[in-house]
Amino acid sequence: MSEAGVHGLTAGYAVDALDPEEAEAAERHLAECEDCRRDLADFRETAVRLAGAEVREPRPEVWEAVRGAALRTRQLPPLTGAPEPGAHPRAGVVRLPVRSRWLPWTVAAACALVAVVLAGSLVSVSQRMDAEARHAAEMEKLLAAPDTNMVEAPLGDARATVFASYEMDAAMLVVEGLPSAPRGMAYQMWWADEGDVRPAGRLEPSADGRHSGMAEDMGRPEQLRVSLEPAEGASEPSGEAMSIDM
Amino acid sequence: MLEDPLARLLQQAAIGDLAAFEGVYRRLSGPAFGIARRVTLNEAQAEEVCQEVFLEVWRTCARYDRSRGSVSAWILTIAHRRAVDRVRSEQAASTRLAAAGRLESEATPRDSVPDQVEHRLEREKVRRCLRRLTRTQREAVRLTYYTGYTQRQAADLLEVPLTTVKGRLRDGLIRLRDCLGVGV
Ligand SMILES: [Zn+2]
Repeated sequence: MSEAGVHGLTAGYAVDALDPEEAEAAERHLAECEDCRRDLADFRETAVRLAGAEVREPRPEVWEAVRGAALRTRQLPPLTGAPEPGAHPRAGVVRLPVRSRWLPWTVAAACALVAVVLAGSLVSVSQRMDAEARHAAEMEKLLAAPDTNMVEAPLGDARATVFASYEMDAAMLVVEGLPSAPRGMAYQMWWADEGDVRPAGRLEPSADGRHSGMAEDMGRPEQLRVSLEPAEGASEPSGEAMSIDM
Repeated sequence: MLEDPLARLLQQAAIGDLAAFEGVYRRLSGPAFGIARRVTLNEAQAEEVCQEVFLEVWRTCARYDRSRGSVSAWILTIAHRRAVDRVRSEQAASTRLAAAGRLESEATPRDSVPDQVEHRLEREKVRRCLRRLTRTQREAVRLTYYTGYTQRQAADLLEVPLTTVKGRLRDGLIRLRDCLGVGV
C-alpha cells in the first residue's frame, strides 16, 4: 500500500470500519507513525463523544452479572515488556508445558458442562446454593489458571472429562454414563504414579446421571483412577479401578 | 493535560478493588451500552456486549496505557469493536436496516432526571456538530460509527468511490473533533 494510503487508514481504524487485512496494515503502520497515533487518539476521543450522544443506562441486572463474573475472574498482571498493539491478552503469561494428548478447551464449553452437573446435584435449595457457590468458585479458579487443560477419555463404559492444572495442583473430573453407586457405596478417585496410589476425593452424583468431583493434591500423576468403595471412604482401592492416563 | 478522573479508579480496580471498578462501570456503562445498542439494534445483544466489555476491562485493567488515551476512549473503543464484531459475524445488513426503524421510533432513554439533563445537552451538542458536516461526511460517520459498516460497505451504499468515503470520514471526524472541542 502507498505511503499516503497507509496514513489514510487511521480514521477508518478508529471507528472499526476497516476490513481485516486493512486493519492489520493500519496496526503495523500505527506502531511506526507517531502522527497517525496522535490522530487515532483524537479520533477515539471524538468517538467517545459520539457514544455520549447515545447514553442509555443498562438494567441493574447487567451490573450484577458483571460483578458476579468479576469475582470469579482472575485479573491479568501488567505487561512488563513493550506492549504490542492488540496483543493477545494471554501474552506475557508463561504457560507450563502441556502433554500432547491434552486438548485445547474453551471456558464456555467447560462452564456449560459444569453448569449442567451443578444444576441437578443436590436436594435442598439453600444447601444446593451453598455447595454450588463453593463448587463454582473452585471450578472458576481452576478454569482461570493459565495452564489448565482438558482431556476427554473413556472411563470403563462411561465418558470422562478432566480439567487439570499443575499450577492449582488440582483437577476436576466430570463423568457421563457411570452407573449409580449401590446404596452405602460411592465412587472414589485416586492418583496413581509409579505404583503409588493416593486418595483424590469422591465423585458426587447429580440428578441427570453425571458424576463430578474435585481431585486435589495432584502432583504429576500418571493416572487418575476411579473405583467403587464403601461410602465412608477407603485408604486404598479395594475394588477394580478404571483409569484415565494423564 | 487534564487529569483523567477515571484513571485513578482504574488503577485501584487493577489491584482488585471492586468498588473502584464499580465506579468505572457507573460512569461508562451508559455510553458503552448505548453505543452497543445503537450498533446492534438489539437490547439483549447490547447487554451481552456490555457484560463482555466490562469483564475484559476487569481482566486487563492493569494493562491500560494512559499514554494512548483516556480511560473512556479505551473502554468505549472496546465496546464499539465488540458490537461491530457481533453484527458483522451475525446479521445481514438488510435485517438490521429493517430493525433500525423500530429502534429509532422508541421512547427516549429512561435515565434519572439529573442524568437526563446532562445527556440531553450532550446529545444536542453532538447533533448540532453533526449537522455542520457536509452530507457525505455525515453519512460516512453515521454509517461507520453508528451503523457498524465498513468503509467499503458505506461506499457501496452511498454509491460513491471508496476513496471518497475514506476522505469524507476523515474530514468528518476532524470537523467533529474541532466542533466538540476534543483534545484542546
Ligand atoms: Zn502515518
